[in-house]
Amino acid sequence: MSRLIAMRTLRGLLTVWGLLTLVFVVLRLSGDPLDALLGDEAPPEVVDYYRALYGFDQPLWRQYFLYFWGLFQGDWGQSFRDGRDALEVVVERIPATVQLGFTAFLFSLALGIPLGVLAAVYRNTFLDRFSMGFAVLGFALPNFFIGIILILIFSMTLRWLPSSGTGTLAHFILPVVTLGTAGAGSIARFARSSMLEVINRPYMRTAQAKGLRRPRRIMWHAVPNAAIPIVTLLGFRLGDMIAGSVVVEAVFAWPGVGRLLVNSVTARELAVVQAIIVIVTITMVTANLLVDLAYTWLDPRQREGRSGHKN
Amino acid sequence: MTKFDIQKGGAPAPLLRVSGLTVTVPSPNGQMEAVQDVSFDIGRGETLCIVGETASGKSLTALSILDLHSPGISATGEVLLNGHAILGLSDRALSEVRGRDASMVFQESVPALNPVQKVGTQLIEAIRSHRTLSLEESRAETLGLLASVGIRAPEQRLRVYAHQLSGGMAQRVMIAMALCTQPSLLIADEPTTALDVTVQAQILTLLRDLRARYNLGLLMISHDMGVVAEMADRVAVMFNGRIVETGPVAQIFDAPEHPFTRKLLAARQHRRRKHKTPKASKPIIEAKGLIRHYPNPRRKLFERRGETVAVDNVDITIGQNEIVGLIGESGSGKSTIGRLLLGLETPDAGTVAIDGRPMPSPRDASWQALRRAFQVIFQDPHSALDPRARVLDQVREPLDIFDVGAATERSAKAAMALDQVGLDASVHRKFPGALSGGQKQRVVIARALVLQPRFMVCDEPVSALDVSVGAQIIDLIARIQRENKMSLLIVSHDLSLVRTLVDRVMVVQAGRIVEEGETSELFDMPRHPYSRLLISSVPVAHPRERSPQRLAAI
Amino acid sequence: MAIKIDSKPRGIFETHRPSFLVWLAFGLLVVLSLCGLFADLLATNDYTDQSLRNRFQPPVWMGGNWTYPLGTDELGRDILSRLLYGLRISLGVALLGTLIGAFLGTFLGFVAAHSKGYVGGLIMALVDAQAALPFQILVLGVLALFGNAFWLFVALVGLAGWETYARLVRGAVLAAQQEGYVSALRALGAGSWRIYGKHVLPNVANILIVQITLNFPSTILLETALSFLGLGIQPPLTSLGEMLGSGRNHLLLAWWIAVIPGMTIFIITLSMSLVGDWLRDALDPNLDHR
Repeated sequence: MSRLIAMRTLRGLLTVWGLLTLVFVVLRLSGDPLDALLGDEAPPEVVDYYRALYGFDQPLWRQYFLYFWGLFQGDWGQSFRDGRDALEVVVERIPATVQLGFTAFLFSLALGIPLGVLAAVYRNTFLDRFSMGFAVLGFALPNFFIGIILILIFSMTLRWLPSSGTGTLAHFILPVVTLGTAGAGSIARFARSSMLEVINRPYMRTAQAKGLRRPRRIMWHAVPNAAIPIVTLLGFRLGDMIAGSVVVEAVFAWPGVGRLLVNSVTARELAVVQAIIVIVTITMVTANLLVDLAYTWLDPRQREGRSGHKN
Repeated sequence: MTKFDIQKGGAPAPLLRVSGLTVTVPSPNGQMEAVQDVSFDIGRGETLCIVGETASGKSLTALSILDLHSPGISATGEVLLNGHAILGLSDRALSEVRGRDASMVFQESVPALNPVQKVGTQLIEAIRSHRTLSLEESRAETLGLLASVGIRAPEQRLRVYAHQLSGGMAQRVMIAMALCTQPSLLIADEPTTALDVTVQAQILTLLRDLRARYNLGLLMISHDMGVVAEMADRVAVMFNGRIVETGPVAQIFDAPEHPFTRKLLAARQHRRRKHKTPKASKPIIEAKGLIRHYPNPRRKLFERRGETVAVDNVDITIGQNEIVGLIGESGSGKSTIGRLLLGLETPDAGTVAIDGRPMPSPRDASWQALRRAFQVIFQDPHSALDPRARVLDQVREPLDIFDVGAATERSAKAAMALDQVGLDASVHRKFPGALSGGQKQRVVIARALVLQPRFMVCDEPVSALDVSVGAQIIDLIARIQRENKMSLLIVSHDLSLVRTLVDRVMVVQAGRIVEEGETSELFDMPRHPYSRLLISSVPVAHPRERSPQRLAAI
Repeated sequence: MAIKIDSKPRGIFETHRPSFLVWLAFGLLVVLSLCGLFADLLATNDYTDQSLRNRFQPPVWMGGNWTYPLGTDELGRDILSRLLYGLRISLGVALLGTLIGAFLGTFLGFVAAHSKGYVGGLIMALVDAQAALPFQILVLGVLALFGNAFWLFVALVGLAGWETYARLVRGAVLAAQQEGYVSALRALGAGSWRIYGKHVLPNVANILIVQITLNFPSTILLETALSFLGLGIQPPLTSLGEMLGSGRNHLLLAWWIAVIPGMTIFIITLSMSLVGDWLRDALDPNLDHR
């Protein structure tokens, strides 16, 4: 078991390292990195000063080392718009994004799982078709479009909810629904098919033959087994949620990391963009690691230390 | 149409009465009656065996007793269990009856247990669903149950998960779970089919033991007349959804009436096939000192990996025109030995000589010739054929691979091979999905024959087939061997089959050959303890051969 | 056996009759694709033509006139023409991107399955890395670095899905290698190329096709999302997402600028999903996704 954790952690670290190296390489490829980091208007003395400071006159391998050293020390470059530390700029936006993302994640779970499980249990009934219809819609509707429609209806026509900014609980509702709906749809579909697979397994028939009643069979035998593949789905959901928040924050003018990313890309604030990418990578890798661990914990068959690729 | 059977030592009212049972299943062509108007009784303490082949409807009949059908399958008729009418009850009402009046055990027991719950939890759940016991009492009860099914150190078993159990162990657990609610009837659907023959003997003994101790009624479903001979008081033979013959077991074996019953019995007879044992001649294959091992999966991060020895210092000789049998249980290494002789795997030590010359390696020029001369057929005909290619094309393929003869001749040769295995031109353009299991295996054999090999390994050639179909395939293999003058190596766990076909037999245990000899000698007088165990575990051929002494020895 | 299963695999249109909804989806996709293809023939106006006098004209059913059947946007450009060209660009980019991803992914998947050594491991590590980071974020990073060029954008969209195909194909090939007939053929002496080409690939092709149709909506959504943010297709070129993006700011005055392209995107992705689901059920009945 500990071998599994060690292997996964190692893989996670390697991924982070790999991505950071990629960023380093690409940055150096695009010409003089100082140009990118400082902008075009910097006077030559400033450029020279920073060149020496950052060590861009050093050989490449030394730069590589300094790059990582700087990352460890918390020196992630500067936003040249206002000269502040890039890391600081990003970190101050994180709470808003986490609030939105976490709530939307919970929303999609609370909506998706019951819908999927019930659709499987009452298969081919109206409930089933309705849920799956809803799921397909959620998946097909682009989240920015959902947001726009919701704004049109609830903000502009009905005037019930605000269409942008933060502050009150009411500000949460539209963005959370927008971000969470696509996730709810795909979770519902997956939960349904996972349950359907489980319901036909031999041990369900054993439970039936033992004389257990239906609710107990579903809750105690079907759901715990169906939950296992769903847990692996959650890792992917997180990634989609992060990608989705970029768009949703733009639609609703939510002051989070996503909005910061878009603005930084437009303004070509490379230090900020790099900082965001690094943070997102670390978050994703950690989340996937947690998912892997949860999966191992939930499924006793995995604990024998079968490591490496399973697919 | 009430049939009254006077049960031995029991009350006149039967424990189970089934009348006019009809089960309808959905099929590609609409609804189909898989079970038609089936009626039978079982008295208290009585054992009824329902025997039939695949698609005879026997499993569906068994499932009807506790109404365990999947949605979409409907059963009509009357099922009276301990006086309760079963069909048509709600799930809630049924959950009272299930487990309390009758319990069921299935064919494969490891998948039948919840993989994410400890075994002990599932046992306790079964107990508490029908009896009011506290947690402590239930736990004590499960320990007693596990001991009574022959599991040593039951406290440890409570804490394990299903996948950590062997097949035999899991089946014992299932039986314990079925009996913990003290039912009057135990329904067993092919409970030993998936087990090794020695384990099967143990489980059958266990069932007999429990049946006597608790005066259990037993409904046993099987395709194996040997199991029937061991266990049954009465027999019902099913074919195509109907019961075609029923009666006391001795009568069925001594005076079968229905042609299908006769076919089933004939397939199991120890009729030695017509085969002239060849005189000793120069051997085709001579293997000495074969060793093959596989590294164990790594458990800890930097642990040194141990090895499992699959083949341990094996010597084999196969002569011209000879039929040799390798018998053993699963995991004994017999299949690996076959692969080593064919050159499909390389031994870690030891030599294999073909016609006196060492086995060529894949890079040698003679490798091609070797592949053409040495062929193999495997166990599962259903997956041995590409589902997307037509029959004739697949039989012709070996000729294409080796570029034999003109392209135009190849189809003709393939057709000839198909003809030799008894398939006519109507199957040529079909896809494997349209063929039955027996037909598929014939195609596989034809494909192996088309290159006119000298030596063929048959690895469990009929294990996946019904008994009567398997008998036909064995006849076919015997005939082909005669016509083409091939040497054969038959690898099997089915001792009765091997006995009828081979000249010389070798018993394999844990990678070693523990005994070898001429067939009838070895089967009549096995010397090595393992051979004795193996041969005595085979179910008897006739109920009169049952004896308590034999059972006790196992 | 009482019932014999039929001889040859029948065409899927017989075994799995598409429902009305699926036919409708099919039809819509064909119509929209044709519209995009023949955009220059169908468009009544030049889609870049600005006319400040005719800004915010409503569509014809809301009181507008027939010169601008779907209304105009904030710069007076004809929405119908923009829609047609936007369709062409969005569908074209998505199609191209999907094909690039599918080819690349399939090829790498085969290589990963076939190679026994570290090459396979390397490819799967890449797959893992790709799955670890939301691709949109990566694309944004690259765009920040290199600025936005049309073909760069298309290439990035193409790379978006490759890891799904690679993983799928690798899994399918590995599974096929375990199949009885493959080992039987190997025992017969068949070489790897023959086995892959004649026996494995046709069996894998079905899964591939299904995955392509299932991935297509994601590809279109990626392109439109990025264009919506202003980081994808740049003016004067237009795409459905780009129209939505500029329309977002005028919801109060002229909601049709955003809603019409949005509905179009929705129709495309929904139809593709329905067709993809039907295809998956028809081609691989072992997966019980009903």
